[in-house]
Amino acid sequence: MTGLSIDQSRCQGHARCYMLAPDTFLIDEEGYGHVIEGREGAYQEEHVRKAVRNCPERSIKVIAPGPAA
Amino acid sequence: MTGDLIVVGASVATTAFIERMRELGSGESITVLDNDPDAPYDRPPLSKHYLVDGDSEDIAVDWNGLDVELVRAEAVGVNPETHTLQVRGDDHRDHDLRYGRLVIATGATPVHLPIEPPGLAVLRTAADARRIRAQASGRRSVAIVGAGAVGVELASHLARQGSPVVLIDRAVGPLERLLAGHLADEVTDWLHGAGVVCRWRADITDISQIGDSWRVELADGERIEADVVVSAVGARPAVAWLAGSGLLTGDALLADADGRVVTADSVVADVYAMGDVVTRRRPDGRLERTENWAAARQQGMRLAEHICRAPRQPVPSPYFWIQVANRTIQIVGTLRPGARLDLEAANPDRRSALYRVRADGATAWIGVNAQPRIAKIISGS
Ligand SMILES: Cc1cc2nc3c(=O)[nH]c(=O)nc-3n(C[C@H](O)[C@H](O)[C@H](O)COP(=O)(O)OP(=O)(O)OC[C@H]3O[C@@H](n4cnc5c(N)ncnc54)[C@H](O)[C@@H]3O)c2cc1C
Ligand code: SF4
Repeated sequence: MTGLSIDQSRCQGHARCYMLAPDTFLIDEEGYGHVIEGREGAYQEEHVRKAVRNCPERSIKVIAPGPAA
Repeated sequence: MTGDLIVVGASVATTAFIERMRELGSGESITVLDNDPDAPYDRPPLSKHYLVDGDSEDIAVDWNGLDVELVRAEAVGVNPETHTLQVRGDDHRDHDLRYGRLVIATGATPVHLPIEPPGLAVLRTAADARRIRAQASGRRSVAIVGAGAVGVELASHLARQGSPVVLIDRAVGPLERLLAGHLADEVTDWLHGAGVVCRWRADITDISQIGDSWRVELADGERIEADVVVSAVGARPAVAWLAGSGLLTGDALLADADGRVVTADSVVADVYAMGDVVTRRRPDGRLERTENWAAARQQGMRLAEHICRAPRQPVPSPYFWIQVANRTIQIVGTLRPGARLDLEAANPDRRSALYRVRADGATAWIGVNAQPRIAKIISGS
């Protein structure tokens, strides 16, 4: 698995990811963050990087793609 | 290494500062000094998931793309007249660095009770968290002195790991400063539910090491034995290295709302400060400081706006959160003792509650597992 994902056991629901990159993150009805389907590869976009830096719990994981096979 | 703009501390505020500088179009070269080999990282996870497991990657903040030079070194003094910073490198040798502008973001350091013997664990850095993790592993027993945010989070996470935990405070309840006395019984119940033994109104008369374990004695005669004792009685601004620099007023580093360092009679040219290290003078003359992530970020952004002469963004309401026994408590606004607490909404299935706190015409909020409502309050919708 490469790309963005949110570790639900760490997410505290500060919604900062959503506020900074609403095109990439959404908040579920309990207040926790999720990556929008199809946006897992958006890490290179500057506003998405900023959203990742802004998660105070470090719950957003970025797994870089390995060398192309 | 003759960076025009030097920041001391690869801190929470620093991340926001650099981010905002670059957003505002500044291409200025920025050098950041920090002697913590793990920096930059976020501290909130240290008393939460990082206590339980994870490595440096689980707390690291990624500065790639922000174009900063990070140098592992300790700042040991400043001369604001000559614009020089004294720096101690890995080789323990001191040398001078000239700065054009200097930003001080050294955060805070734990305080100790006069009664504490040397050797007690504290929790401020990633290395501290790993040390506590190792010492408490195998369900060893832990006594925690101080039931502020760090002590309460430590207690509930270590208890969940299976350690017998005693949490000791001389106050009448937990989180007294943070929650201004509200919800003390509720938080105590949750801690009990998580298996934490609480000792409030406890006057510690002695802490001593007996063989491999520790003994904490209370004034009422109780003796608490534990394998590990953690001191979590608070933190004070990390300004010791500024002694004699002329930048301190009393023992405080004062700054104005934009982050310019001020002394009793003037604004210090080209020296700025942000985050936990800063003390501010309120309009009524009282001194205040903040010790939280959101304020550190706000101050970092504000300073960048000042330096880039950009419009200032409005200051958001204070925001803090704590994780206690599987509940997330969020606080928006300033809580005052004696304020009226009204339950606005509750959902027992989710163990959630939202309280409106009113005093002197100001409203603050406390949410317990109420993230969606709190998000709406913060974003003002
Ligand atoms: C365990 C723990 C849990 C927390 N949990 C929360 C929470 O849940 N919510 C919340 O809002 N806040 C929380 N906080 C508070 C929050 O982390 C701090 O308010 C925030 O880190 C302050 O940031 P800062 O920018 O002032 O500096 P810091 O992040 O403290 O960084 C200061 C940096 O300066 C470096 N430094 C210091 N002196 C020197 C020197 N002389 N030379 C070079 N480098 C130096 C240090 O190594 C450090 O990296 C927590 C704090 C701790 C310790
Ligand atoms: S910012 Fe982090 S903690 Fe907050 S909702 Fe997003 S992922 Fe969760």
